[in-house]
This record gives sequence, C-alpha cells and structure tokens, in this order.
Amino acid sequence: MSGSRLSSFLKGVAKKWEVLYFFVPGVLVILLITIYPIFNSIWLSVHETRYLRTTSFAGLGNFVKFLTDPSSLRTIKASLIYVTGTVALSLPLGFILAVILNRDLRFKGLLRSIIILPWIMAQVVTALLWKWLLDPVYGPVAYWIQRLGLGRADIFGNQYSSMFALILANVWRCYPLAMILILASFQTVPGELYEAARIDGASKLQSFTKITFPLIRSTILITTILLTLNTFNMVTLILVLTAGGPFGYTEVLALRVYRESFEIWNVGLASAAGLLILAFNILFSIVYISIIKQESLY
Amino acid sequence: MLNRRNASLVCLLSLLLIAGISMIAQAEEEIVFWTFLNPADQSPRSQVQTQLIEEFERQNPGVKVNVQIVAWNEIAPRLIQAVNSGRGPDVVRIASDSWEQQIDADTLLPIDQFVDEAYKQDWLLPWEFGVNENGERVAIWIEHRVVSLYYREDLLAEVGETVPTTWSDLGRIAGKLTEKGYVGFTVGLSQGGAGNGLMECYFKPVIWAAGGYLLDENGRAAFNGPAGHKAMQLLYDLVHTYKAIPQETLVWDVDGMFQGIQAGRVGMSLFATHRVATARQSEAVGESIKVAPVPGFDGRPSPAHVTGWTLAIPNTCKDPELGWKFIDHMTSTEAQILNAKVAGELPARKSAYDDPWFQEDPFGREMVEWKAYIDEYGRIPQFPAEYLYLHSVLVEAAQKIVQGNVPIEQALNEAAEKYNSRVR
Repeated sequence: MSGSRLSSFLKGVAKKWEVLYFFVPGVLVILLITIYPIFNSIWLSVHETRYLRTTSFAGLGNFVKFLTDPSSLRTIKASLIYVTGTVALSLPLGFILAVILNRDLRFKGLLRSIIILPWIMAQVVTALLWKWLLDPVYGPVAYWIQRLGLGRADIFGNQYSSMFALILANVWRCYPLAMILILASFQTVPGELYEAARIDGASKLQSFTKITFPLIRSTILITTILLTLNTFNMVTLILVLTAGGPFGYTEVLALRVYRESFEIWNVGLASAAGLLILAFNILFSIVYISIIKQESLY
Repeated sequence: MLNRRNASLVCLLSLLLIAGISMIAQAEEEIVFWTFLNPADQSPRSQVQTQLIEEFERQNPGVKVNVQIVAWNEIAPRLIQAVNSGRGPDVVRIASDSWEQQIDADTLLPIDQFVDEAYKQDWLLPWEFGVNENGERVAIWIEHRVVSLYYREDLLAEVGETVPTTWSDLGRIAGKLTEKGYVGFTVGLSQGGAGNGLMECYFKPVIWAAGGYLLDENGRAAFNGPAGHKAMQLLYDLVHTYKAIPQETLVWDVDGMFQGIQAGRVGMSLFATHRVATARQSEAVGESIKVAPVPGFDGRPSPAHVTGWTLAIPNTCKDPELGWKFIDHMTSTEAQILNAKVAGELPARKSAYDDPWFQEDPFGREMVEWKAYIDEYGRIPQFPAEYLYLHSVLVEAAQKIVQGNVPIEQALNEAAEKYNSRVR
C-alpha cells in the first residue's frame, strides 16, 4: 500500500470512528465513578475483609449475617419511616409554597432566595442548628415549652420524638428543592389552557385538577424520586443530630453502613448492606418511573 | 525548519533543563505532614505548629514540609485508606485513641530504633504504654490531656459545699445544685462524639476506680464484671437516687456537655484538661471554673485517664530517618514548653517542667498540679481497634439501664456478647 493510499485509508477510519472521540471519555468517566465502585462493592460483599483488604471468600455470608442481625431490621424500618416522613411532609409543603410563590407577590425574588437557603446549607450546619434549637437545657424550643408549662422537653430522649425531630430537620432542609422544582413546572403550563378552561366555564379547582396537576405530575414524581434517594442515602445530618439514638431507633441503613465501614472496619458486611441500599434505591426508582409511564396523559 | 546545528543545540538545552530540574528536585526533600491544624488559622496551637515547622526548615536547608490538612476525626480512617493504597503521608499527627487501631491495621513504623534509653525515661507516662506486639512504640506524645473534675467554685459556695472527693459526695452536692435549677452533674449518653460523653467523661475513670477494666488481656469484654456493674449502678443512682443528673441532659454528647458548661448551667462535669482555657473564655463562667482530680469511691482520686495528640511515621514514609528528625524537633522539650506557654497544652516530657514558667505563671502552676495527678495515677485507656464499636455498645447499654430500666447485669451482658462477637 502506497503512502498516500495508507494516509487516505487512515483518514477514512478516523472519520468513521470520529463519533468515538465524543462519547468514549464520557463512558470511561461513568465506568470509573459509577460502575467500578458497584463492582468493587459486590466483590467486597462476598469476601471477609480486614480493614480494606479482602481475606477469604465468604459467598453470601455477609448478606446472611446482616439480614439475620435483629438490629438490621430496625435500621431498615428506621430508614423507611425517615424517608416516608420526609417525603410526606416536604412535598406538600414545597407544593403549597410553590403555589403561593407562583402568584404576583411583592418581593417574590427575595422570598424565593430566602426559602432556598436551607437547601444550600451543609448538612452539618443544619444538624448543629437543630441540635441547638431542640437542646433540652439551653435550646429556645425547650425554653418556650417549659415557659408554656408543658414540662421538660426531652425530645432526643424518646424514640418517637427524636425520629420526629430528625424528620423535621430534614424536611426543613428538603422542602426548598420540592418548591423550586414544582414552581418551575408551574411556569411551563401554557396560559392558553387556563384561558380555554375559563371560557368553557371551568372552576379554579377544575382548572387545577384537570390542567395543572396532570401537567406537573411527572415533576412531582421526579421530585419524589430525588427526595427519596437523597433521604435514603443520608448520613451526616443523622450522625450529627441524633447519632442513631436513643437506643438505636434513629440509626438508619446508610448510617449503619457508615459505621460498619469506618468505625468497625467491617467493610465486607458494610458492602453487603450498601448493596441493599442500592437495591432499595433501584426499587424506588422503578416504582416511581412505572407510575410516570402509566399515567402520562399528555 | 531547524538545521542540524540548531537541533543539536535544542537537544543539549533540553537535557540541561531536565538535569537542572531533577537536581533541584533532589535538593529539595519533602516531608508530607498530615495535621488538623491549619497554618492559615490564627489559633495558638496552629501558630505554634507553624513556628516549629519554620524553625525545622531553617535548620534543615533543602527540606520542605508540605502541610496537608485533614479534619481531626478523619485522620485515623483516612490514614488506613491512604497507607493501604500506598499514598500515605511521611508524618502524621494522630490521637493516642487510634494507636491500637493503627497498629492492628499495620500503618505505622516502630520508632524505638531512633531513640536511646535516656530519651525513653523523659516522659510522664511509661514508654511501654502504647506499644505494638513486639513492644515497640509507634508514636511520640506532643501533649497530654487528663480527664479531671470541672467544677464551678461559685455554685458550690452557693450551696455551702467545696469540691467533692468521693462519688457519694459528688452525688449529694450535684443533687443540691440540680434542685436549685442548675445541671448538677452531666454524663452524656449520646452515640455522637464517639460516645465519649459516657466513655471518657464517666465510664472509663469510674470502672478503674471500682477496680476493673473494660477488656481482659485477650481483648474480650471485661466491663460486665463487678466493677462495670458498680460504675453503672452509680450512674443509675446519680440520675434516679441523687437526682444529680437531670434526665433530659442525658441526650448530650461530649460537645453538648461542654456547651452546658460554657452556658453557665452546669455545676460539675468530667472533661479532659485541654478544654479548661476555652471554658474560662466563656463570660458566663470565667475563672469560676476550677479543676480537680476525678473523685473515687474511697477518698482517693480515680486513676487519671490520659490521652493526647502524638506524631507518628506511617509505613508510606519515603525517608523514615528524616521523618523521625521532624518528629524529634516537633516534640522536643523546647517545643513542648512553647506549646504550654502559647497554646496551653500540657507537656508530656518531664524535662519541660524544669522551665521556670511552670513555677511563676498561675496557669503553669495549675499544669504542674495536673502533672502530679498523671505522675501518681496516670493510665492510658484501652482503645482497641474496634473501640468505636465498644463505645457504641456501652452507650446503648447505659441508655437501657438509665432510661429503659433494663437490669444492669442483663444490659452489660448483652453488650459484652455483642462486642465479643465482633472482636477480631
């Protein structure tokens, strides 16, 4: 093959595979930061470990050990309560605020900026703030509870009130996300639809249920997915605010994984529990996505 | 286009450049130093650290200390990860709590080879404290802190009392303070802060005072013996019988307890001595905070729970000799005197106390009292590789005993069983 023919052949090949230049780097990054850790977790979960080194093959031993430990069921239950409580409160709150902020208000921009603040705060800061607010001795909430004659506020000493406090702190942190996403979707609904509905004699409630809600439903479901995953995988806020107490009732699955990994260095068991979190996350996503697909009206 | 002569010139210059760069690189040896003290921070401890590093670099031309900041509670886990991946530092500032874990994870180099017998004798605590299985030390103390009784002299005077020396006295006096609306005494049963609201600030000194240990010589749980029972019974009595500890304060972690002191609401509590200066900076308490040895059961103080920050050479150190030279400088007698005067840290070396400052300055004299407590009663606590889990199961047991009314024996035996099932 002569020099010029080789050159044109190589050029042809380069042209043909040009597309690779664009997506290969992205694929490599995804493989490196997403796929590799998952496979590494699977590898670790089927091994006995000593610190970060694998020692012997354990098969499904770590999964069995984790799932038969009575405290594991408690952590799964705590996670589900925490996620359900957070989503059930922050979604309606975000929705109501989005409805309010969608109107013509004075200082709307300022209000939006103030409302978004909790979302941009670090989880540690949120936790410390709520810890101080609810402190039984020098916290302002305890002070007012006592002033109102409602007795001593032992919020973190009781399993129910400490879980409630945890959910409350997380709702305070999460509702701005729900609000922003829903508010953005409100603004995508074409005004002509409302105009047509008004001409047809639809009430405000009918406009909302027949036009607004169906059009923003997918955003609500996506927001639900985001809030669920975000809350299910959360460690820092819980670690700082209740540290899993009292009696381990606020120790959620993600916190348990953190402790098994970096406090006890039982990385094999932690990986097994981590894969359980992944399974839960996938399950939640599948359920929500299937709802979106089934009920897509427009 | 380059002609042959110019091309040769370019090659020659490139070679010279490469040689020059490598010579500079060789001349400048680097010590990667992990610490939580940020040189940009204006805190006294950071200033002392920076001053000592600058001195070291002046005395050792061609050596550059590369300070890398790691959060204090991240140093131990990150060191294990870094050494495992072969990218650890040359010198690390590590808490004595983590020694056993690091020894177990095989991350630190022994340093006995660098020292002689006279050097070993110059420390408040015996050299044998904190050694690996071959009896070799892996770290050198920068400073000590000893768990002591913090008390509010003014509040005690208000109820007509002086500092207690026994636990029964403490319970009675703290009960009086609580009745007056203060928090008489605090023990934190939160899992937060590594469970130290219970473990450091109560259980370890008290189980020693009761004649027991957390673990036996095989590293198995011993806290469920008579001494552990006695310590937990006292805790129960402090809450329910003496009413010395208000129930709602049991949710505090060690930082919550300390904030209670700073807010002026707490009468007495156990803390390590490194917090004294900060406590006194609070307007609510000021100089009324005093420090005394931890009470005992029979009038003698409880054994002194001594910990501190140390310097160690990780396995990844490029030049252990140089690493040691740096540690020797940073922990020298002069460095410890400077640390005491500027940063208020208690020297770990005996020779540091020969400085006249310890006789002349009131804070220096107070430090001498703490030193005397360590001299006579000092012990370093057991921090097994799984110490965070140990703390966690004991905090849970204490919560069950004090808040859940579970019998002491049952709660401690359950905790022992849980801990033993995880010991490697």
